[in-house]
Amino acid sequence: MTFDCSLGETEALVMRAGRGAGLSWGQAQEAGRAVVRLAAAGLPAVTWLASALPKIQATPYAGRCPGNPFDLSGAVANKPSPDTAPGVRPGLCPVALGCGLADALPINARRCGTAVFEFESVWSPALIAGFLLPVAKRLGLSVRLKFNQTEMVTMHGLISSNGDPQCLSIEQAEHVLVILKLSDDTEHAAMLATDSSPGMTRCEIDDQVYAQLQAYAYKTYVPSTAVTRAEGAGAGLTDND
Amino acid sequence: MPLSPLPVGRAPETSQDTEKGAEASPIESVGSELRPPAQVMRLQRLGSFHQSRLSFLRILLRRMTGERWRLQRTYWDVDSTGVGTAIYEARGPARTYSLIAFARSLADADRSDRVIANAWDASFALFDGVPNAADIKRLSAQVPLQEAGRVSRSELTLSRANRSVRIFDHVRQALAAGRQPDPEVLNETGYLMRTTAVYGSGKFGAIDHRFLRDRDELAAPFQAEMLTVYLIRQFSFDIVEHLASADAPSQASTLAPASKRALGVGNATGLGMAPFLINHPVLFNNWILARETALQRIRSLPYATENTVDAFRDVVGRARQCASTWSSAHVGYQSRIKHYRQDLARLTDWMLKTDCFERRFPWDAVFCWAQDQLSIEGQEAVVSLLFEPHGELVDDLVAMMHADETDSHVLDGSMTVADMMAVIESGYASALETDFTNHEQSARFWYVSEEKLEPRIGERHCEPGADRESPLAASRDAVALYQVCRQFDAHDPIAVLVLQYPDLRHVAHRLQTLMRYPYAEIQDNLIAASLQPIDMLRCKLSFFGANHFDPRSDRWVRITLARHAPLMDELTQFADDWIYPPAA
Repeated sequence: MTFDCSLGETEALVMRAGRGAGLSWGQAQEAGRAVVRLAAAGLPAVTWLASALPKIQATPYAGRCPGNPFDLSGAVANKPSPDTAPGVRPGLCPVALGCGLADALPINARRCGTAVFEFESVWSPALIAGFLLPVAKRLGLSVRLKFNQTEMVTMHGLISSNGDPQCLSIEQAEHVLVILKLSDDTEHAAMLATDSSPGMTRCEIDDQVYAQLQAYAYKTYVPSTAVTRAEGAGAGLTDND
Repeated sequence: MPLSPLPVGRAPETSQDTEKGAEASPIESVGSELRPPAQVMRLQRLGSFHQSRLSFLRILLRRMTGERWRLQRTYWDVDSTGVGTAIYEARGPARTYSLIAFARSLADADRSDRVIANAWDASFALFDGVPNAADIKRLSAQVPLQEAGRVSRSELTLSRANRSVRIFDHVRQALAAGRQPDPEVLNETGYLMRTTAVYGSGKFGAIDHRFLRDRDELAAPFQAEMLTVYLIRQFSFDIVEHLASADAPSQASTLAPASKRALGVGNATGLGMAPFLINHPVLFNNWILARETALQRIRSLPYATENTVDAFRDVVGRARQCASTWSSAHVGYQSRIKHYRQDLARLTDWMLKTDCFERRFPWDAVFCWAQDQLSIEGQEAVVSLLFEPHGELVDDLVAMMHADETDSHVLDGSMTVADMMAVIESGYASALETDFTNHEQSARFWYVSEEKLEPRIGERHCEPGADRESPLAASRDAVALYQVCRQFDAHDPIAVLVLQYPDLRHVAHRLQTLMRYPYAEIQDNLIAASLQPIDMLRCKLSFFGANHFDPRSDRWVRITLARHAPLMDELTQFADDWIYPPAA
């Protein structure tokens, strides 16, 4: 069973669920937007995000946040801090990583040539493409994401992927490469030729995933009391008009 | 062609000439400045806005009239107790939309305005096209549930309405007795039914607005919602006549057209509408910019024609008559309305004596006189009234009142900390001087209640829930960002800051986005003890086209939409300024 959701609902639900799991409002908003970009391309990004939420909730920000993604000097593999809850494998949050990389793209774009970033132990790594899509488009970059024998590419506002869909949906990839370079016309033409993304206008969310996201979203709502019910919104409880 | 936002201080060029010749460019040195955001974007002024030619309901009716839309009731299956289904079709040149109404009859004790209500006298969906039997069956199960139900991509809006306890039964009984209802009773309330929510744009499974905005008839803001309300108005007439006829089949009369025109659709607006202005700042900027640009074009006219002067005098007179029927139980608004009536009287007297219409830039003179002499309520009323005789200068600005909010801005991490601080210093100067540790300045917090997800405002220092505060305190958060910026080197990219301080990402994104939009940010502290949320509600409602604002508290207001509007079968018989009824 699935829920047929509008893209606006999907974005709002993901944002609220992300916040409920411990993301900042800003990162939760970005997560909502990134998931919708991927969902509009026909990818099961809502499920990818849902699988990362328990780990995000269990890990303090410092433990799941990448290091400085602008440092190209030592190619030190960014890896998660060991500061995680017992029973939770350390990993890098795809939301923090996606935001950090997207923020860094304009800085890195000024440096000529190809830039390569490596990361270890990334939760739901395919989500990263959703964060990079609009910035890559604006800067004329092609961004390749490689992990688990699969590859995603985003350029000119398009996303493509190859490899086994199950590989794409991996919950944690031990080695992720992000490769940036200026896109060229040949690459763009090839991508257009193979673009079979359906341009989704709706998002089908598995009902268990929907329930999970709703449970996280409810952590952002304030329980009602008799006083707040009567006074918080303004209108009276009964009609006298 | 849509107009792009411009920096404050320069109005878009217009090719309009006046009838007295074009010896001067329409934009001259006097009044070539748009009103500054520091003046316009204060809640005291925003909360004094009146409807105008750029209001969404008027835009809709103008289009339907110009394109000769055909509106009719196509289905009516309602029993003698008022329970059943009705369908109203709006057929335009390109598409047809159908309002499907599911009527029931509530006991008075079950009727509530609140989002947390669970039952209503009628519930509605606006369907994309003409529904078939399967659509109606599906919607009959879901629409009456409202927030507890689901609609689909075939539906544009979901809404509900209750009968007005004050006058519905009076009208029903009068019609059943074969007579017309008391006009004073009609005027006192102004509507038979009152909507308590009209959801659109992807809510509860409806189609996202982004997939509708290429349709000409839906490009202007909230057109689907306005069409919904306009058709609900017709339903309200039909249901009261139906029930009167059921009560007394042999003698019931129908409501006279003049009485119908005097009635609109009520709306009870609480805080649900307020976060919209904060969460859609680019869109809000474009509404305000359109309004300010219209004002600026008119002020810049070197001369006035006799026709426009006569039309202006006429509409001021009709506005005075309208003002005489505006009443409220709210003490603060009683004073406002009284001053407003006095303002219009003073304007009338002044226009009899002034020779400004014989001189250059007469409309600028009218505007400046109003700014100098009238209350803020009166000033903003004059702004709206100035639009009325200048449709050729105003109406095309509708094209700029939309915004593409999908990926229209992504944070540019390369912006330096110094540049971000400069943005805050220039746009949030008063916030930087505010002590947000002061209880009065941080007294409130916005949140979403678990109960039906209803937006509410809480008292921070004596209620629980502030840890789940919604991110709607832009001025406070801008100051927090500024203070953290000072910990970084001026040349550091903002990307480094937001990575280390993710709690500030949302405000960094907002400030960066709004740099190019001077009218995007309300320049008041939205968590202060002094906040009057009804100012935010009224601002948005004025853009909808509402009038007769009647606050019931500082965060709840009753209004009317479509009052005095032509009926759906007589759209082409009325001028665009129908909202000001003819002089008595």
